[in-house]
Amino acid sequence: MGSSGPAIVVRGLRKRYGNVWALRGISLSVNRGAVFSVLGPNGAGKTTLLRAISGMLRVPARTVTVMGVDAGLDRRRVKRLVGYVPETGFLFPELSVERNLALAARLRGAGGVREAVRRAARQFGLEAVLGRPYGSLSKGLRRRADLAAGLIHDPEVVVLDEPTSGLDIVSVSQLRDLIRLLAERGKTVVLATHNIQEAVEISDKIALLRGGELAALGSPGEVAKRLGVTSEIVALLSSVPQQLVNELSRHGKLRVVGKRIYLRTADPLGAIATLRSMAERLGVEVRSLGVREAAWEDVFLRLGARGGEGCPCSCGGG
Amino acid sequence: MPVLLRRGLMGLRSVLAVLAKDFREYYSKAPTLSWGLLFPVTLVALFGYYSGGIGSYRITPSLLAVALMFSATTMPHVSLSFDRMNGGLLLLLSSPVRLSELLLAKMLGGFVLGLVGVGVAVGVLSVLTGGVPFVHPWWVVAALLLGAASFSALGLLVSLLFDPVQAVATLNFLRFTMIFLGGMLPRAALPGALAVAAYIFPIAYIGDLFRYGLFNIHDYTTPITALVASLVYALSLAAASVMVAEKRLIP
Repeated sequence: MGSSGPAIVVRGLRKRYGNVWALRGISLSVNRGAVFSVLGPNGAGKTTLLRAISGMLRVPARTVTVMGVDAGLDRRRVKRLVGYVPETGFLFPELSVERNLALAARLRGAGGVREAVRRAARQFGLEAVLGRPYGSLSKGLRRRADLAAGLIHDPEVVVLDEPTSGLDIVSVSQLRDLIRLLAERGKTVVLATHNIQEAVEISDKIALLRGGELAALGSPGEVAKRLGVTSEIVALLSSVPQQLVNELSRHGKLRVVGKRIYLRTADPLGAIATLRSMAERLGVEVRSLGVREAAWEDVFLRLGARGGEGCPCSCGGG
Repeated sequence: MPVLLRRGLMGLRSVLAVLAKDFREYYSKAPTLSWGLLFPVTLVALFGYYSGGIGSYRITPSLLAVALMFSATTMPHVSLSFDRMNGGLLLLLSSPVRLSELLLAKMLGGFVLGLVGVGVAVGVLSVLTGGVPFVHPWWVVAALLLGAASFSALGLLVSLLFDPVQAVATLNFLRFTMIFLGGMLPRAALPGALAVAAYIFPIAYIGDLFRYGLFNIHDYTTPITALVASLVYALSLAAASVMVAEKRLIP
């Protein structure tokens, strides 16, 4: 295993199920310790990409490398390095949580099964339900058990498919904290999500997939700029001098209605800094200031115009 | 410890872990109990009792082969189908376990249930009608082992080829066909084309191994041919399962 370089490298990955192309030449890399989100409408190829990275698909040599291991040559080694958690539950409903975790620990090669189960139960707050059948748990607890099983072998790369799907707001918040914690510990986290705001907030890098192709790749700011994703700043001022209008117009599209200004910009922080400094210099009072969230959803809807097919293999995945 | 031995032990650990999981999760499922135990045991007890008891050379070997077929085909089908439906197959496929180890665990489940099914059936019939004659005990052992292996591989193969609903229909079509062709009916009782068709099915050879082991007789072919044919069936069905699984489970 290479000790330096990116955690994940994908080069020209193409994947076809029968006549349907799920991925059409994807290339990207993810740094170690980064949080990387894959966004896209249903059928865009997110799950296929995640499974290729997790060693669950047959891929040509040199197209997918995880921590220096070629997934086309040694899928088992890749699986040891990756903790994959699918969108739907993947534990056995009639087995207790403890037995499920013990099975995951044995299969995933976690040394010291009992200790691994205890550690995972503690980390994910499952100690009180260890003896209960997995199928009898609430959705939030089942999700926690899934994560505990997926990460029981302390993998270097964590791959989460739609991790917050169907969770309540408290569980979502806890999961985001966990993702940040994993990244702080140096783990590389890859997640597929429909929730753009979530991806923008927690990711170092995002990829937008559309019909098996990369529509955009980069930091959230870079992608926002490239795709023309803008936020709107709304401010009520004591007056609107022409000099202020000229300066703010450089940041985006400005509309002035009486003493209220509306500025649509891809760089809201820079625009606000300009507004504050100019207002102070010109003696203008800023009576109220608000930012409307970036219109990512519009971009997502535009991308959704061209989807693809789901995973048509017989593994039970979507 | 040599690398190969260590790998082998790790593989065995995975096989046993999946096997234990399958029995804990699925042994009490309705299809396991009904098709894997209740139906074959009832069939053997009922027909055996009314056809001269366990000492009847006409019916006992066929009944045992049919019981073995139902029991052994059931567990791989039940475990793989439920693994797919509850999502657990993704846990197995995302773990660093060889596909061959996973399939071996599934086959072993059928193997064990097959032996248990026949054991219970023979036990029940022996209590009802007396002891079992063993003329060639090792041939009976061979019939049990090769039969359990062939039928569990058949159950696995069908479950890999079709979705759970289609698989149960296909499996039942094959099982009910084999009750008559190569199973309960002697070759002489089958009309020409059907008598030839019976040779396609592994149950004809497994039945002959039981006939020879228990009563020193045979019907479809010689004991040696039956032994070789059973071995070929077990190996080729297992190999076909691996090939199909490679394509279907790791796209």
